Amino acid sequence: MGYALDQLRVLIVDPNTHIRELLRTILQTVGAGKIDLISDGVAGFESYCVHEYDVVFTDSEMDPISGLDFVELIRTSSKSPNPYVPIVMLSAYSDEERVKLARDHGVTEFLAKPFTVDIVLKRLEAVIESPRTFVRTDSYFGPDRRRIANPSYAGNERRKTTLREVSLSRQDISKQQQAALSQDKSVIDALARD
Amino acid sequence: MSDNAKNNGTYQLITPPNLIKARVGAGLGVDTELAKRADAAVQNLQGEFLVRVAAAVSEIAAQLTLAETSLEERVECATEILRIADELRTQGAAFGYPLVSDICTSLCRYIEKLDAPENLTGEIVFAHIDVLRSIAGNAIEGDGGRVGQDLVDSLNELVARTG
Repeated sequence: MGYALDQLRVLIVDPNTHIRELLRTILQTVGAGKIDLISDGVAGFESYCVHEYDVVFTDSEMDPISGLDFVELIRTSSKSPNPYVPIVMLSAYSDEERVKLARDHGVTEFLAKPFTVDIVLKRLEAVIESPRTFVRTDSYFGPDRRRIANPSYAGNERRKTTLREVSLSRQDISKQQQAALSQDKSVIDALARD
Repeated sequence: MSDNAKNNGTYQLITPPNLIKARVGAGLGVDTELAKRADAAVQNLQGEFLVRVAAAVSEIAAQLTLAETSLEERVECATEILRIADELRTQGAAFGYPLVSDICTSLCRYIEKLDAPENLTGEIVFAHIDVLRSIAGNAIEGDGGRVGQDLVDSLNELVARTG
């Protein structure tokens, strides 16, 4: 038996309409009961203060406040009704530096674009099944940033494995598609020579 | 919450109650049948994405025509083309068309590095949107394989030379 997601209330904050719709489609189809879509962090935080959300998905690149600022508001503002809510950050930029920055701002899980249905659902399952202990220090409040070390683990680093999976999942293109792109390339190369 | 908190003087460890787990019940993960339906629903949206790429190409081409009319128009057109390309760049990655994102990243870089927006060159923008047109017309998913990546390299070189 699967989760009873109909009682779940989800907040999605992303400036891009189509990304918001994509996430809503995924979550709605698997049964999430209430999903609120907001285009920026300021309105997102206003909504967060009024409703009782179980999980928040937010983009990292937003105006007028960034996704990181939005996360910090949820975690540390005196107005925040629940500073412990699981937050999944979406980003088209998944370099180590960005992931570390997100983690240092209190993000629970990181979701690199492009994402698949499977990856979104894995992140959702992770926040349900593996809740994080929180840490409060003079300079940080948020999920414990330490992952449990397993000295006997001999596999790939999780992030590297995920990237490899994404790369292998891409299909190579047909001859007809190759021909179309090759023609475009000839035009570009000629332009570069001029 | 204080019952679950441990304080060693320099940091405090807190174990919040698992509210989300309490809400979704004792089920074992997301229902696999529903997950399959979600996959199918997303595939429909991916098809719609190519329609948006084609529309964006037409819009950029229209902006280029407008840009020819005056210097002032050219400044506004450059800004508008940058907005369209930036939006496609974000969506391409999420909808399974990273080649679209790569092409749009190159186009954004070209416009962002222009000394002045009035220096916008139609030929270079067309070189980018012609590729986008090919991707939309031939439904080229993924990164375009080796040919796609060679093409991205060529565009990057072309943009680098305009500096």
